[in-house]
Amino acid sequence: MIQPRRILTLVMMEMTRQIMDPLVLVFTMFLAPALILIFGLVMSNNYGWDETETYSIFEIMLPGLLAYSGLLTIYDVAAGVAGERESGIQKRINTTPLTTAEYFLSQMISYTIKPIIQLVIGLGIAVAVGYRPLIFFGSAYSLGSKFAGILLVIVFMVIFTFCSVGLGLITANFAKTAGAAGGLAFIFIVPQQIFGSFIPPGFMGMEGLGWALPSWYATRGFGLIFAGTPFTDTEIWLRLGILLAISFAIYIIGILLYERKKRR
Amino acid sequence: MIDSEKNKVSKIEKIVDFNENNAIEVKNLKKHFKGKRGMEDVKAVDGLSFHVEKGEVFSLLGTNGAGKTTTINILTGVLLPTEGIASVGGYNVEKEMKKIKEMISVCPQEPALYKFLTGLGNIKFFGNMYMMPKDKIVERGEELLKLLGLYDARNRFTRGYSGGMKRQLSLIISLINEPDILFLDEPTVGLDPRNRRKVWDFLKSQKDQKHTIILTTHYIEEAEALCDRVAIMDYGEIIAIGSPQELIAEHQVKNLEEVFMKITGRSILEGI
Repeated sequence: MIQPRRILTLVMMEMTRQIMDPLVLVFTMFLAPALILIFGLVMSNNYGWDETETYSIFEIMLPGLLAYSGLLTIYDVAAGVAGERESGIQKRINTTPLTTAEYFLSQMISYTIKPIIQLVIGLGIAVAVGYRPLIFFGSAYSLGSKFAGILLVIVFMVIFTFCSVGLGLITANFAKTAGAAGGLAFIFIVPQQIFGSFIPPGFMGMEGLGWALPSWYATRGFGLIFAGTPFTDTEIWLRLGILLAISFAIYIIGILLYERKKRR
Repeated sequence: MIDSEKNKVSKIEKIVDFNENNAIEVKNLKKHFKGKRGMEDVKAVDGLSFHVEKGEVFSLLGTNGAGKTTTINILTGVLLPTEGIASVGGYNVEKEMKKIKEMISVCPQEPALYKFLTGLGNIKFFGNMYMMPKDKIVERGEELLKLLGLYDARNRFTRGYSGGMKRQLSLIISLINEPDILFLDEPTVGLDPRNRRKVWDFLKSQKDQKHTIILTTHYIEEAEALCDRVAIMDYGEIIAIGSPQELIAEHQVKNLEEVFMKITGRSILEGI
């Protein structure tokens, strides 16, 4: 039976680890908001990517920049788990009654908190530099719609982060040290960053690549919501559903690999 | 009946045969690791058979690479055996690890602590893994910290602990859940003689607490001082087993080191 107390203990420990390691904290907590600030200041009035001059480069990039904060979770999880294995802690906790399900749940919870904080900070910065997403600022939208929009953005971020946590756990299976895991994590980060986040793949003629990249579903989902797309639009739910399915598949692979590594 | 079913039944029958006075029973245990790049398989453990009685302090003594840690890893669920069967607390290590984990605790070779948690924080973390009552964790944790002289450092982050302090804290953590069966994998490696003596005295005091203790070591004097029985391992096999006194008398030598030398022609400390 799953014991919430064990999960909570692991979550508290993970949060402490993330706070106590300033390098990890800065790299994974403030990188995306910092990029949002820089691009917001530089690209807010540049309409070079949109022939109709409706959206600035920054407005096109923003959904991807927000997804990027969830993407960095791969590095965070991979380095953290591999580091625990390197120090022998993984082996030790595997001799306690902690179950794989409890371990995975704790990882999902503890690593999802940071991207949500980044989402809030990132959106706050974007608004501060002049970004006005229709769903939140458009007069045609009721308070209920605005609230539903916020909720949906968070749901997209949570599910996308689950994907990243799963990919991080998979990465950690192939690395012996935290350093190696951190490096390996970029195998999953870079393609998603280039082809599915703040640089729209359409500009490189690589729109078709998006289907394979979880970040593209999150980025497009954020974009649709910010643009005030009605919630009845199937594309939003289709993207959310696909993201959920990818997440599920990643966890199955992750759990199988973890179990195999846990007891050889 | 197909072969796999036959194997299942025979394994279950063997488990039923186990003596209930034994905390651990191991029969023809093997662990072979696949050789890399066409090299031969490594026979880390090669046909071990022994038992440990309840309340006994039992030592696996041998050189580095003798197979001591691999044996412990199989008994604690970290590794699966290649062949043979083993039971801990009457439960099969291949099939009933969940039940085994409730009654054991392991003090690994590396201290394996969270460096960003305090000493007491680490104790609480592992106490929670065993679902112990929170006040009991603190009470027992502080009691053990006092016994090993770490009480004053309990609120310091373990990254500031010396190597000896980390090892002692690791030992405390392994005792927090009052395990029926305690596995200690080279618990005094790297400790200076004074701290080693302190750990020995502490472990002697635990002998009265009805724990069954399985200890791996390559320190002869440690095995002689602490253990009721010793199994001397070499190249994955047990080459001698019995109480230190029995082994010394049987081989007509002065100590266990000489027993090892007489059997293998080498010193146990070679290569350490």
